Amino acid sequence: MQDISLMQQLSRLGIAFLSNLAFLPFVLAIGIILGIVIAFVRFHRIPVLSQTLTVLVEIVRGSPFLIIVYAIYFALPYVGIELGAFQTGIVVLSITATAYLSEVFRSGLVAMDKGQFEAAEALGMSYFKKVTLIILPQIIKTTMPSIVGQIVMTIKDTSIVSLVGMVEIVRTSRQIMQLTLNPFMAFSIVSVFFILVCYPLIIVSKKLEGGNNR
Amino acid sequence: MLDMRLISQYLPEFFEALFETLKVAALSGVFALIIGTVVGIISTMKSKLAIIPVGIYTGFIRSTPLLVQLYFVHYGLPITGIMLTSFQSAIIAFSLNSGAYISEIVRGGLASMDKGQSEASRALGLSWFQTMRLIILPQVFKKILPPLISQFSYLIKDTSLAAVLVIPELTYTARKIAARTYMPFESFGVPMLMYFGIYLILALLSRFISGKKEPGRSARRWFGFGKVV
Amino acid sequence: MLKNIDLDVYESDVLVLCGPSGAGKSTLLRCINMLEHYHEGTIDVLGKDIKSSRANLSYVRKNSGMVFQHFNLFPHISVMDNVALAPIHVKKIPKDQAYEKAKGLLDQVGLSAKYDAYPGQLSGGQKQRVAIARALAMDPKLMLFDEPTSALDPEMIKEVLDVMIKLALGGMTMIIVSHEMGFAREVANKIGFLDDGKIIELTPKNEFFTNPRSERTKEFLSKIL
Repeated sequence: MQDISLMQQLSRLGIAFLSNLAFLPFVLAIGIILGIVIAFVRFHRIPVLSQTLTVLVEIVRGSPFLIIVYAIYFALPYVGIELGAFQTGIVVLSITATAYLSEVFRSGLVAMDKGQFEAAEALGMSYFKKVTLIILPQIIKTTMPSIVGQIVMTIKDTSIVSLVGMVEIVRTSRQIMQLTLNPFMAFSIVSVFFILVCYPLIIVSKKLEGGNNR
Repeated sequence: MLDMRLISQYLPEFFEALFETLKVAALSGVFALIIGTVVGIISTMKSKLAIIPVGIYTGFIRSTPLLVQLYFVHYGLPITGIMLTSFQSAIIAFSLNSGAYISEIVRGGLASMDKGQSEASRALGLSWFQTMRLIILPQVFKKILPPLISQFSYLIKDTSLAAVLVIPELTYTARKIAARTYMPFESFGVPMLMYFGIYLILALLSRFISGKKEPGRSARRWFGFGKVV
Repeated sequence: MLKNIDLDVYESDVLVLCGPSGAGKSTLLRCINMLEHYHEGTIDVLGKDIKSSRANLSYVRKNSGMVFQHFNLFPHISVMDNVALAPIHVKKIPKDQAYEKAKGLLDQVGLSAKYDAYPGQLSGGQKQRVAIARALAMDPKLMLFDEPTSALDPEMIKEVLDVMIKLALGGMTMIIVSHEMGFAREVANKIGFLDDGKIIELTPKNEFFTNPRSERTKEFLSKIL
């Protein structure tokens, strides 16, 4: 048993937590952009492409995050793609965020008042103008609660990438636990870090939802 | 392409693993339903004494990763003298996790109930407990069945984390067979198909139930859960 | 389903289309800017066959205005932006000019106090007047009205009709689907009666009310007048 002061534990875990958060901007950007594209392809029922994407999206939504992580990490080397733990994390988190967000945007599109499309068309807007000026701003607003929910999910899912060796807060906490033999302390600090970031986001998501329903 | 001989050779093992996954999910699901119902009812009470602990519980579960919760139970509880097998740890962690989400579904269902139902029951002389058991909860559960089914679908996916505790369920078995055979595509492909099959069945079931309630509404989806996150 | 439709509308005509619900009035109107696709026949609008090319359709949509039953205002932007949006982004008019014009149009429909309001803050009648201003902002040569007053509370119908009457008196070419026969009597110069996808009667206004030709029209008029 080894003594590591609370301050030391805090700073080591805090630094490790930064790698959990480092994924976020990239994953979110990919998820939103590809998610929107897939949502529009499926909304317009573009033949073949639409069905293919539907199947892919549902396979990702139907699979546990961990098995996708394992599959990407252990199978890709056999086709000549060697990914490190961090890259595996980026790839899998982006794939899942894209799949879930595409469904969020698609339901937003389906729920959208058809009159908005018609009014934009009657004013002579091109497809691009119609989408960027009228449809997307409204979709983004109505789906904001789910987008924030997806951010929380992505942050929490990062912890699972530790299972293929990525160094982040949960893996670091296990190492500390093995030194101090005090799991409660290590995992409590980890929980506090996650709560500090995720809880406010959950509250924001609920507030936004309340605002949309009014 | 895929080695069919290998797949058929390991198929019995995969099915055993599928059974283990379903066992973990079903047990956790039952406990989660009990926890969720009790906590959900408590959360509709006015007293701060009831609401604050419930808020801490659901807030903690929703804000932290399931993996951390699993570690808490598996490595943390033994220190307090409670010795647990991996299987018991997994069931406790999954039940507590899913229970928190179910409590929010139950709370939503209770909140949407017409006040007249409980007023009429009380006027008939039913006790609070009778009112809940005979009048309110049966109606609430009928209403929240679709979200409960999607929650169960999430639970099945979450049980893959039991692999961390070396429980021989689908994800663990997939990894084990992949390491043994050096055939990752077959080893992960079969379990993923199994997960997808369960997901599909539950999604169709959920759609069938909600479709019966509002005909035509969900007719456009041909599979998958409509509501996400 | 529309059948055997043969219809000419000239400049400054005000044509009111009426008839029982399900007769195809709205469908006919929505074919004119191809919000509804049609399988056979041709529709020339402002001298262009709208089905023959994308460019023609685009020309027609830019030069005609449409007012919908449910307003279809864009809820995420202000009233002023609703009116100025298409001129800026479709007609490429400089912003300050477009906003100047939007102000003028909103004044014209009596909404000077609502420049910065959002559609969600307006009454139904106010929304529909914004929708008219939005359509007018494109300097349309033709205005299409799809049951503009059917979704309004009775006390708000007049404020919208007044704006439409002003437009008609100003010489605007208008095609209107409406059940407001009093309004039709006041401003229309032609009235079309549709039933079951066919134009049963298309006559100058006075004839329509005083001397309807078909039995169906007589029956319809006796029910609603």
